[in-house]
Amino acid sequence: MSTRWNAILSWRPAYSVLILLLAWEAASRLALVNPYFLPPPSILIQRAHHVLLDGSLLKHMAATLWRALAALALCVVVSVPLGVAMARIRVVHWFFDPLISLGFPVPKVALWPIFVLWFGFHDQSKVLLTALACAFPVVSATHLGTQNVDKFVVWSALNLGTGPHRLLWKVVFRAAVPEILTGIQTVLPIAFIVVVLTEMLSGGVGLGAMIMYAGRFADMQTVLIGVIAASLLGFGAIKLFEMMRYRLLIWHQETSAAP
Amino acid sequence: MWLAACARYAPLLLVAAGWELAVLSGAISPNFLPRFSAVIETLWELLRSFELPGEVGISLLRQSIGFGLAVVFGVAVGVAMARLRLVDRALRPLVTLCYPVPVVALFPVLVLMVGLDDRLQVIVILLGSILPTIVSSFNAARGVDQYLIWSARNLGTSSRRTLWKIVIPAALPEILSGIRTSLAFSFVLLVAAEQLGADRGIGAFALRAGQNGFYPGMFAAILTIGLMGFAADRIYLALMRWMLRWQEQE
Repeated sequence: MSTRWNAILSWRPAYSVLILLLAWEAASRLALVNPYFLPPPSILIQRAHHVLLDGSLLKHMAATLWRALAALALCVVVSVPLGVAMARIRVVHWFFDPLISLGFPVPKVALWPIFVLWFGFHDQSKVLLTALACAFPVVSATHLGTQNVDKFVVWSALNLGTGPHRLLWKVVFRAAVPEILTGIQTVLPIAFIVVVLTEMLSGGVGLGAMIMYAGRFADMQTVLIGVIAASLLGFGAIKLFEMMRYRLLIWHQETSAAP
Repeated sequence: MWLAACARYAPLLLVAAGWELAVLSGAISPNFLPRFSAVIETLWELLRSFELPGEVGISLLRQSIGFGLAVVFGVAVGVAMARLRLVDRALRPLVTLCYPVPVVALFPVLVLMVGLDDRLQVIVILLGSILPTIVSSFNAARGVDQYLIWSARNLGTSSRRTLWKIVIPAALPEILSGIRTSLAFSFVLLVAAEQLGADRGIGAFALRAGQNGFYPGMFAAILTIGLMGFAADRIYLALMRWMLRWQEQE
């Protein structure tokens, strides 16, 4: 799955992106599209230069990035052990399986008013809601990955006298790592979307708040810069994670299979 | 069979009972978490007064129009990109560029372009769920076994018949499971768009109830949204199984 996503998100079409930007510039300059809603890229770059110099853009980007990373870290720390426990311990599976399968398709952003009531308007509610939104796919990927570990590998380890703890840590968990990483990869974009959304709903610092604030003053240039900055953060995180996956799975057959 | 279902879903009852007891015993203040029974009671009241069904109806209308358009155009564009080089060349950079854009962040632009009415929510849902649909349909149609296509072409099947008889049926399982992800996403977008700016709809209702301190109503509305997402997923799953009934079952 991830290798295919790779293909559509690759750098290869860089030249066509350039053509697209030129077309955008021309369309906006010739007023084929309303230049107020879609200002030409050259003007956006000037404005981006301006908000970069006064430090405001970086401040908002840092806030968004920190919240998304904190949420992802929290999600991984809770979801991965839970997923492993669901695959290995029957009671945990019995208790969490219906909760996960019922909760999976529920739009977690609907819980925002509750999280505001419980955790206030600041970082806490944003990070926790984002972590919750990301948790379900990671738990189920870890659960399935750990459950489907090759029986022969487990049997071989047991036969060679591996104890239960060593078996779990040295064999089962490591064999499930590719699936766990795929689960985290699917929630990366979700993390950035939910963080930006909660920032839009609550204000303060962060790209979402900057976008909403600029929108109130009908400052479309700043809105678009905020949107582009959020996209770049998400895109950068996805690319970095792909590189990390390659390093982490250097021992795995998927790495040598890839060109 | 009933017993098995009860054993399977017993944890849900445990959670509900734990919730009720935690509030009743005073461990958690009812201002923080209304009793579970109070939430159910409020839900019943809101259902009986037709307040909630009205909001749900508006939300479902927005969701079904936006999501329906996204499926029709998304699958068409995705398959066309996989099959026709010209379409691929023209649209690939646009899709690559737009894919990581969080559509909800475009909300302020869309408000000024469209105005604050139902079309706004529909457009947010459409834009947000069309890109994942395009990407998954593209991958599905591109992943079709080349030998199937070559065999059909070799036996004299026209390229249009190849599309309808070979490519689409072969890609259908993957297209449908891609649409399932988009369906879940469309509900997230619906709730987000309604919370950001709408006076009707179930998402707006939940946010307003919270702001007015009507917490049982807020919990009842959020429970309803959860049930909507869950029910839509299960109905879609049944539809998907029916559409793929010709497939060999493992």
